[in-house]
Amino acid sequence: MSEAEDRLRLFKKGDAIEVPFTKVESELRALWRHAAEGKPGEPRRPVTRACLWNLIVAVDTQALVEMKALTDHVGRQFPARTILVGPIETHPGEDEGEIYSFVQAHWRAGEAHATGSEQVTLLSTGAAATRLPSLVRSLLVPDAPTAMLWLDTPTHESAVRELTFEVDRLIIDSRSLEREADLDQYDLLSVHSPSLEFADLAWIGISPMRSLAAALFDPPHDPAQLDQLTRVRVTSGIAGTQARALLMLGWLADRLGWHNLRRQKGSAIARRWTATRRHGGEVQVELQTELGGASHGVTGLLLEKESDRWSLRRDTGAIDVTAPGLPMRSQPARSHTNAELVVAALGARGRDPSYREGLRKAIEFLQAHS
Amino acid sequence: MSDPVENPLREGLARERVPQPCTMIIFGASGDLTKRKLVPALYSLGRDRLLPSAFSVIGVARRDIGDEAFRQSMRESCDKFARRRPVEEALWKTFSDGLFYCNGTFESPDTYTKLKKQLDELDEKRGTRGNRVFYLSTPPNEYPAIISMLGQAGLINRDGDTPFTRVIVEKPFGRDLQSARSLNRTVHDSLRENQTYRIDHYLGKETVQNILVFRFANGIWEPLWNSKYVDHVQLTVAEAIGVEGRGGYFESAGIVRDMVQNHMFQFFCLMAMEPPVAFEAEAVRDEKLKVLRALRLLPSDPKLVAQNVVRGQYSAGAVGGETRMSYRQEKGVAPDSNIETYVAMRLFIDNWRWAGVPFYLRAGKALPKRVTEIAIHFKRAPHAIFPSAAAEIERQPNVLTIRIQPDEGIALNFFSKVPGPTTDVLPVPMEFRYGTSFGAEPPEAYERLLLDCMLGDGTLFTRGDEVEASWTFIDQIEKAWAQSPPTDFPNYASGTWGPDAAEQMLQRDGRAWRRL
Repeated sequence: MSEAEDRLRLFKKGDAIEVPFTKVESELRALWRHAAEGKPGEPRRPVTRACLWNLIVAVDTQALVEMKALTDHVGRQFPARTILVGPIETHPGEDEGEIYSFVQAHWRAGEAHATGSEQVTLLSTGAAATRLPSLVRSLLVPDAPTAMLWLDTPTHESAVRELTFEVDRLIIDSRSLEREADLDQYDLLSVHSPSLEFADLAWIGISPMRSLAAALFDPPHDPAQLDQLTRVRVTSGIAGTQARALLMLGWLADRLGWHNLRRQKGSAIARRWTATRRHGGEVQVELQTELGGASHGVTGLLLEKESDRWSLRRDTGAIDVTAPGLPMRSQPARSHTNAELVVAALGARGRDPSYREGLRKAIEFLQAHS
Repeated sequence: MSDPVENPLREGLARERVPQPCTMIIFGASGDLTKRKLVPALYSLGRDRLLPSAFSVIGVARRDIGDEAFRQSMRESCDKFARRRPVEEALWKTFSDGLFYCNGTFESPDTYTKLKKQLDELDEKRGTRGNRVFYLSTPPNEYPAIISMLGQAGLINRDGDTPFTRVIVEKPFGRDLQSARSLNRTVHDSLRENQTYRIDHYLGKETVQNILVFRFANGIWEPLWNSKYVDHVQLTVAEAIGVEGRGGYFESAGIVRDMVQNHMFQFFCLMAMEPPVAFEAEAVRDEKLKVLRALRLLPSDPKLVAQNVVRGQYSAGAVGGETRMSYRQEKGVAPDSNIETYVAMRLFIDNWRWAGVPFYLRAGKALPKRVTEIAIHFKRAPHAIFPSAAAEIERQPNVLTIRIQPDEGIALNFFSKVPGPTTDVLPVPMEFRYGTSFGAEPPEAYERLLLDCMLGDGTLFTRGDEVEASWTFIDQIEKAWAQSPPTDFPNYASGTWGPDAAEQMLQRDGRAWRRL
């Protein structure tokens, strides 16, 4: 088997092939063409090269394997030109550095023909990292929107940070922050790029809870009751960074116009605040940690107005919903994989203008003084 | 009166429209439609958190079973037919707690007295607030009695929308103009037009709705969508199956009543209509009605009708390698039946946009494959500057295909130069396919339509005057055929693309059916 045939075999299998970084486009063109030609004597098998998005994925040495597995899943579900990009560990003597590039296809086989999208991996050593953004720019498919998946904290030092100012949508995951205080890194980015859409996997993950909470006050139920809440409690089923619970609180605070947040005395498992409601009066707010049940970032929401109580309670497979005057009901709730959340982030759910305000309010909770 | 307060928590969430609490009452609850489509669709809506916060279903049928047996039977249906399987236990518990059964005959006032009592109790117990959606999933001859009885029993709030009463009526809505008018009169005796939801499940299909999005959300097509650039349009609804045990029903209908008058005319209208001023029920339905009213009437002479409408009936043959009996051998079919299982027609819309553009429609059973599509054939380039490619360009003009099922999507065929030293050209397709472009699984047509009805949105339902306009056209065909029974039935073999006369109809115009 010739080298060209071997590369084509790998491409058709969906395996990665190393190519010179200056020839990524031409190599891809050739591979697609050969994939459509088939073997000599066999009929041509049409292939469709599909791309709805450019998806730039920031990686580093530690996350490379994990991110590769994630994008392999996403690529099979959603046609995008995926570009994994980032520095890898530099060996002594590599001051100048190198860029290594690989291409592969994600295939979706159809009856009459195959549809595929492509993934490009660009890894750099040493100072070559500074050249990565320019290389990524040259590889973007024109006229397709561009998203960037950056699951780490977006630090200033990162070689790919400058790309965040050129993309349409930034997909982040505040669940993975080492410190809750780093939520303000996203806020900083949002200040610098007012038109950038943020799709936080943590935010998308709590959308079933937000949706069910909203449904409690849909017509004919009176949403004005939301302005009379006296107590709100969000329960988190995990310890450590409680980004989802904070975002849930931030969302409620923003949508309900709470202001003047004050920290109250609490404990390690129950953080407490007081806020002033939109039309006056106070609401007591609590973030409670309750381990041992469903290990989800938001396992419960309790809203109280005098003797009326609305609650959402999540166990491993369902969310139980109770509201005044209605029978208790259960809604299925399952945890989504990161790949599913990323696919959702590339769809309409990744465009939620209320996220920025919810994020800001979540940060206000963190920074509130007594 | 001040406007109701907006729910501040709704902004940014995927679902903007929320149904009010209500009870859905299904007449014909032991029937196939309830088991295969309706209850599985409601379950799937629940699964997607699209049902109202308070919701119940009452199944009404003759069989004497209780709530538990009804729930068990619906559970088996959902296990088999729900879009998302397996059924989730926690959700099923919640969903099935809202399922109830009421046994009785549709003609007996006692049934409605019992039903009213049950509904009042449910309003109290489950917070459904007197809002009701009645679904008539019964044989059409039961509709007048049920609608009248509902009115007499005080189960219809005709005067306002609080609480609301809506009635969904399954097709067929009449079997000719006279019966459709009579049914409309019965409906309007008890209901306002905007309480009446005549369902055509084709309109619930994503790809049918996408015709409107494709046409009116893109600026590039509308300038081409007229007689200046379109040579002709072909609409095909091909089914590989025969009548599959529905011979008795089909004998009283035929393919024109079963498929053309409703489904096919609906997407024909969406394809041909003028832009509505808004994506709203009355605006869209007004434009569809204008298309039907602009249809050129057929000549009164049956021989001349035959030049524009071809009928067929399948004989034995093979479809997809499997042998198939002839229509006349099917159960419930008369051995000398003259009912058509195939129709092809040439229509003209006499308006400014479509003057002189033929629309060729064909629908048939026992054809080689299942395909529903609209193909817009554009006119050729006005002058041939590639002599070596002239024949190819002449043979295959640019075609825009909207594939409704299967492999839903849109394709545009255009010519491209074949690499090499000569100027050879070949048509190449530029394709969009739902299956590969969107990760999300589309909802079932009934899910969308049931949800729309609960929301009070009639855009995807048919209005009474539309139904009458379509029957006005179809009646001409039926009348001509009644005067001139077919002499050549069966006239096409199962597994072929229909009778020769259908091919000849296009050949006379210098055109040909697409090979699908």
